[in-house]
Amino acid sequence: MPTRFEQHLRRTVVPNLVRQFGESAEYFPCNGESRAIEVLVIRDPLSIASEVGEVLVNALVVRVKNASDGITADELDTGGDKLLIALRSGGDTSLRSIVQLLSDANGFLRLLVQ
Amino acid sequence: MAYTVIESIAREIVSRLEQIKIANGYAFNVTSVIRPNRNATWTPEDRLILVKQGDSTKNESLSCPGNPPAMAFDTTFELCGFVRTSDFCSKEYESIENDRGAQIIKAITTEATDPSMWYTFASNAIISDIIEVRSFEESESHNGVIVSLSVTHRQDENNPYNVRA
Repeated sequence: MPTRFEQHLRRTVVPNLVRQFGESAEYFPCNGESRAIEVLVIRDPLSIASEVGEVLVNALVVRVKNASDGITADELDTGGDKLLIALRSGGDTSLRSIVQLLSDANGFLRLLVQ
Repeated sequence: MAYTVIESIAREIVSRLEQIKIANGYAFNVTSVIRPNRNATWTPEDRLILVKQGDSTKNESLSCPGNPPAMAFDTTFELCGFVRTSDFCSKEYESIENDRGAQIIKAITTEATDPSMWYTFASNAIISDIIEVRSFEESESHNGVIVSLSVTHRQDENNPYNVRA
């Protein structure tokens, strides 16, 4: 049962944050039609994939509404879902894999995109 | 454009791995075969193979004098096959890794022109050997299998573009 605080966040804060600071991306579920969504993006520097020989890989942390006009937690499949998103703000977009669900709280999904 | 001996071997490895397609008699279609680049433009996905080249160390016993002398090197390549199955897949990933590793070995040891000489990588190497197959697991929930390949090649001391038999 969500607390009143969580319900308030989900109902008012999440949509406002997305409206104010969101950017457009396109979600490509591995089984289904793609759709345009709004996301909040933290563009981290390159990270290291250490197990495969210290290979550089890009890492973005993306927040998206846990809703049908974002991505719902139960439809997310980190085995194949992708985002069409720019690695640099304002840059060219490319398809990137959603590799991990980092958290699911207060109406936001926080995703690791590489 | 002329390539160095080791670059020719690396390109041949990539070319063989790109043949992994159901239409060619393999168990799956490889998504892509990539080598790392500075901007890390690749994205981890299922059935992707990352070719990581290791250090080249001199092989004294196979180097030989002459004018110019021939220098032999041992170079390791790590062929990393990513296994990123669906969140809703219940199949054990080690079972999938075993299969992916086998298909990588099959592709590497298959030479279209002369199947009995796969280890020369189109006449660029003296001998090659599969030295290890191991699984990997990362914190970002990447799983996969790494096939380590050791390649011994020989070249002119003063011309790394020229193969020495």
